[in-house]
Amino acid sequence: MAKRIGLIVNPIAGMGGSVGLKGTDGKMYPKAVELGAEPVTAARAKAFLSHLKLKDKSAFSVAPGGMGEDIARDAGIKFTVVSSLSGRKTSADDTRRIGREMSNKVDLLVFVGGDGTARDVYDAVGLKIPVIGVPSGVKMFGAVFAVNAIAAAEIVDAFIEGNAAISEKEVMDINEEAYREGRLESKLYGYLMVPEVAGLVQSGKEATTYSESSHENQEAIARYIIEGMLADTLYLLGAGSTTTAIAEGLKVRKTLLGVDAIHNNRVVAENLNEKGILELLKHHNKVKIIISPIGGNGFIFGRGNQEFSPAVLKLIEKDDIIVVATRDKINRAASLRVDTNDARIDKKLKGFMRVVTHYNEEVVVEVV
Amino acid sequence: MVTELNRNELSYPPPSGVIGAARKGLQGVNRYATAREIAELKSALSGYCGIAEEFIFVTSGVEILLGQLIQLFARKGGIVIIDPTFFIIARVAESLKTGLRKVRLMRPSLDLPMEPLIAEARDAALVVIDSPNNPTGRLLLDRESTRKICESTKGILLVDESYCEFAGFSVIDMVKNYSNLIVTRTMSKAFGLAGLKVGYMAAAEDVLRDLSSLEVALRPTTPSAYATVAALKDIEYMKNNAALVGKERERVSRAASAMGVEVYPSSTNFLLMRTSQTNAARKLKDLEVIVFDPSNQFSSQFIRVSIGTPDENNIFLSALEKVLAME
Ligand SMILES: Cc1ncc(COP(=O)(O)O)c(C=O)c1O
Repeated sequence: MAKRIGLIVNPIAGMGGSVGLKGTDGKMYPKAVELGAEPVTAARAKAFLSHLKLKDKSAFSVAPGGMGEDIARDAGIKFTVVSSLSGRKTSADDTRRIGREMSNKVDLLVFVGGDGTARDVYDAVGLKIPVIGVPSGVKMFGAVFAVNAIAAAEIVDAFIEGNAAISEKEVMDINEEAYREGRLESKLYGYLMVPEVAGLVQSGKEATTYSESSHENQEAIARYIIEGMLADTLYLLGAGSTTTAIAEGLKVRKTLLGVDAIHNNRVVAENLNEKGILELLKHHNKVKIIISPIGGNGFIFGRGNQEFSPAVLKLIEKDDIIVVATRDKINRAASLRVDTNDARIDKKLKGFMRVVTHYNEEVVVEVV
Repeated sequence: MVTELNRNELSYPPPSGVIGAARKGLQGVNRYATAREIAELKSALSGYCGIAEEFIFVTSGVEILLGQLIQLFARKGGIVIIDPTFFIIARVAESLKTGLRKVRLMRPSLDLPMEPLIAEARDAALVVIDSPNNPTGRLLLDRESTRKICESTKGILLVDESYCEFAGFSVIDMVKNYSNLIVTRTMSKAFGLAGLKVGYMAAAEDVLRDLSSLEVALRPTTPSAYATVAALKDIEYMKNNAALVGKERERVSRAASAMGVEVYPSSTNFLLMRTSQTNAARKLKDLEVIVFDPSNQFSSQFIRVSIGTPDENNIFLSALEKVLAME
């Protein structure tokens, strides 16, 4: 059966970049227009469609007007339009509404935009269907984007042929105000299921991919971590699906996108912020942090995990930081990275660190 | 026609003497290889490696031996490997219940970080390092670092030197001085006998004793044994091929670099490259050039290409050029 592909374009994403605005979230859009910003997403969407080889093997559902329909018509593909627009100007609400509608109608949703669009798509579809982003925003720190429009087309072709592997990838929430002031503050916003071209299955002896699912990998990590857990020690579990697997192993609740504290196998605090962590640290002298790199490029502190601020990290020994990541995830990141805005803390963390990648399996990786 | 440059084979056939010897071995294949035939093979290898026969163990390919060694030592304690490493080493080690520690090569230099390696090696039962390394092509160990690891681990250091003839460097003689050093090598690469699957290892007698129960099961076949003895009488042929491969490797490296591809220095018969294209291996495959796709260890912009004949290399280079020109 033909694969059903959905397309949602955020017509205003990326417009801030050319006029130095670093994003068109919130109130910045009128300002971008005033400064003479040109729409860029239409060109990216067109490039994506024109590089798609298997157009004829798929059925397209596109968002109305400038959010997809116009571009699809220009590109000469056959499509049906999903929903209609509420007004002349499109908004995040349109993305969310149309996304929700599409989540019942398509096998894969392609969106064109930036981190903000990714968040709207996440709000709409969650983990219901796979999603891939064609990068066109100003900030694209999340891992849900293809490298460029052409790479996105390759991934969609692979998906149509059944040659794509699907894994959960992070959607990041970047504080745009801070970014405009030259600081990068980000936190984990959620997860999307993202397809990627699976490694080539080689002729002969060298097949390369793991047969285990990333969830099984996370469970193996969790078993190992739990077996090594010490009594009367406070464990601060950072955000993410791997740390959540650890909580599941302990049969306790976990805030997927935040920091929880566990002591003698019981949750003692949930969704902690920096202040809450500092308060807890006053009452505990044996403390370990368990975190997973966030954002697809190996960051352990500084992008995501921002609850573990320099003030917190000052009180924690490097040896008491346990990093966990699936084999796949760590293979993708060349190194671990830190950027805490505090040179002394960064220096303390740099060097080498072990990452738990499976049951009793660790890889020593450089921290840069 | 498909050009296969994904298995790091030699693209030149063996000399007629080697084929003739294999044929001679075929005549007696109703029998298992005899102890005498195996002794002759060991003696030829001993001459080639410059170490006594007592240090040598022969096997039907290095791959199976690597697996056996890792399983054997995993019963005694933890395993340390490097990352990336020869695929088989990683997969066998990952499949075991024992502790596994991987030490990642530094990026982007791909240097082996000695300090964490020594720290991990200290209490390990076995440390496995392929040097030259597959898939990077890099020679990771010199005599000094080999000595350091041997002296600091309470276990065994296994150095897989399958590509040593291309590197023109080996630590095999050090097995005489370090009773915890194993060096494995193969006839599959520079000698061009991949289809015969003959490998060997050198190690102190204590280590070999541990393997004695496997000795018969791992023996090469009779035609393989005869062919290997013949090949070892014609070292010049191997050396010429290795030199030819080296020359071609540098030519391919220069040509690819000139196209803007990042090419890593290699001491082997293959090159690791980083292209500007995602899914580079797949795109080359669409043009009927098969290269190894290391995308489980690097990004999909990377390829590992074996050095073939000048014609094969030209086919690869023109396909690469086409792939790079894609939008
Ligand atoms: C590092 C390494 N060791 C060993 C082998 C296999 O050798 P053999 O053919 O003797 O099993 C290879 C072949 O690809 C290799 O790359």
